[in-house]
Amino acid sequence: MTRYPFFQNFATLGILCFGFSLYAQEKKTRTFENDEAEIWKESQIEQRKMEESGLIYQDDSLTAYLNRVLIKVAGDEINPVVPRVRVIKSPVLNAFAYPNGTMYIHSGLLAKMENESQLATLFGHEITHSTNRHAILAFRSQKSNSDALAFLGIISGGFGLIGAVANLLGQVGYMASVSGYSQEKEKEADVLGFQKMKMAGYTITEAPKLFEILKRDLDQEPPAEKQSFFFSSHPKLNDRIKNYNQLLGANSKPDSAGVDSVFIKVTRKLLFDNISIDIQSGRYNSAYYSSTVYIKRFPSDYRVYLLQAEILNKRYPDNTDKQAEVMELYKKVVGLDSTQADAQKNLGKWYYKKGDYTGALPYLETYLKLIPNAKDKGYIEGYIRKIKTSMDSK
Amino acid sequence: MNKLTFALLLLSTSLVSCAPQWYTVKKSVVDKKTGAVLAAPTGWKFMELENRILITPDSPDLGLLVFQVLPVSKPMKFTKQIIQKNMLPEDLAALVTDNYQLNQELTQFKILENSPEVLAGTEGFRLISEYKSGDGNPMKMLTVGMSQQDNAIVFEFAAPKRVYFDKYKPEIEAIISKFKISPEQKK
Repeated sequence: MTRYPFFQNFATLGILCFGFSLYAQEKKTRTFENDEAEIWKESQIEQRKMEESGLIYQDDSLTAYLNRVLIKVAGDEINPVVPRVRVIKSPVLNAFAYPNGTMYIHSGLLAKMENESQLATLFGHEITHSTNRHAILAFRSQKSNSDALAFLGIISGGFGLIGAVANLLGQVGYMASVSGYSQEKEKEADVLGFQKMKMAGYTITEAPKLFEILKRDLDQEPPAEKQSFFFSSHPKLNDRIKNYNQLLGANSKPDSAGVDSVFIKVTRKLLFDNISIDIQSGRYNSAYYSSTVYIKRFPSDYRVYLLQAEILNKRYPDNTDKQAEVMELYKKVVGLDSTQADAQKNLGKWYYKKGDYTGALPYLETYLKLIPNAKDKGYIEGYIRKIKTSMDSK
Repeated sequence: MNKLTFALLLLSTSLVSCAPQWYTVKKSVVDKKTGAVLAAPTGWKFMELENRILITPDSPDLGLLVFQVLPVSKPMKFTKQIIQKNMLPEDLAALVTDNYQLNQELTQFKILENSPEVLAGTEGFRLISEYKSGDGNPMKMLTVGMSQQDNAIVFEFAAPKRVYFDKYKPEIEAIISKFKISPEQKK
């Protein structure tokens, strides 16, 4: 082995060079794969946080239905993306998909939809972001490492103003949910998403309608925060409306999905619950609009009149006409069902607040008869005590 | 020293002197805006901020009482609902609860008690709640509040659930029960 040291060294050098080129190639390949794997891993971490947050809306039949629709729209050839839908308790109009196919739809957005074709439009758009790997392409499109870092920095930085959900989002979710992708990628999602919903047999004329509904809602209830989610932004909604109308083209004859009884039935609980979510967030216009939709769909469900009364009571505390309307709504519910405890209590509290103690007493007493161990028993007993003391002193 | 340097020095000095600081309670703390008197134990520390007074027995991390005067007709920070004048105690409690529930700094928030309370002679509410702080520490909170014509007054005492909440609660309750508003301010 020591007889031909030059050749030996030459051969060693050659092997080393070959090895290095293989290593470099492998390293390059590995880097190429690693960044996408990293984004998927990050997605899983963010999703875990979302699952543990208590913000996931629980309704098994609704979730099963949404998953069925998403799979129908997504089609078969989407491996390794696994389509899955989760609903977030949030009044904000938004939805976003992670690269692995998990899609989050805010209850506020779902509550505004009228039929499955509109849902399919949204799913088609969002799942295209996953299947066409828009997250990793956006990441790689950054010109330099510093751009990429800045891109991630934006994401981990300023989302203090956009509410509960935004605080849970990491870099991937933020891009999908708030900033959106490039105009080109969003247009691609519109085009391919439209094709997907068309192939799945949905009514294509419903596609632009979805975004028109969202725009109308946005006009009624502008976001409280300075920074808005993707589907709560006027320019982005306008882009969607324009793109989908262009896609409709010659097909834009008046056509409608009609009354979609399956969709209406399966989203009933969510529509009702989202009214309370809107009220809790002070989104009274949106809450009231949804309450009128609910009444149209389910006129015999008197619980919604209580919510409508609550909206008016909070929105117009000093408006005499509106306050009279509040009282009429409570009376309507009591008239329909005198065992409706909340209506009895709220009517009693309404009279009590106006100083009409004689009017208040029977309703407050009935409430405690209906629910003797009510959680707010202490408060109600206090009102009754005060009323009786006042009556005794007269 | 030229004029610009002098002006900058003066500005920086005034900024330092304006920054809120912790002071030691001598007898009591008086809220300048409402004239409300808070009789905190001698030696506790307080800090005055706009519309708020902070009081701590030792360190804010181990127990912090916040006295707040919330104006009517302004939206709350998280719920965006507004405080109405002369709200019924349980309605104000519900509003405060909504605000907590939408505050993502308070995870796993849960109300343990919700009952009527009298604050400075006015009917109010009392809440006991628990949550996990931003860094995951289990915390407990006592909230007592009431509504008036122009504002709502709310006390919030938050401390680590383990040891400190129960340790300071009796003294905090004493501060709240001795809390006074002058009759002219009580509107």
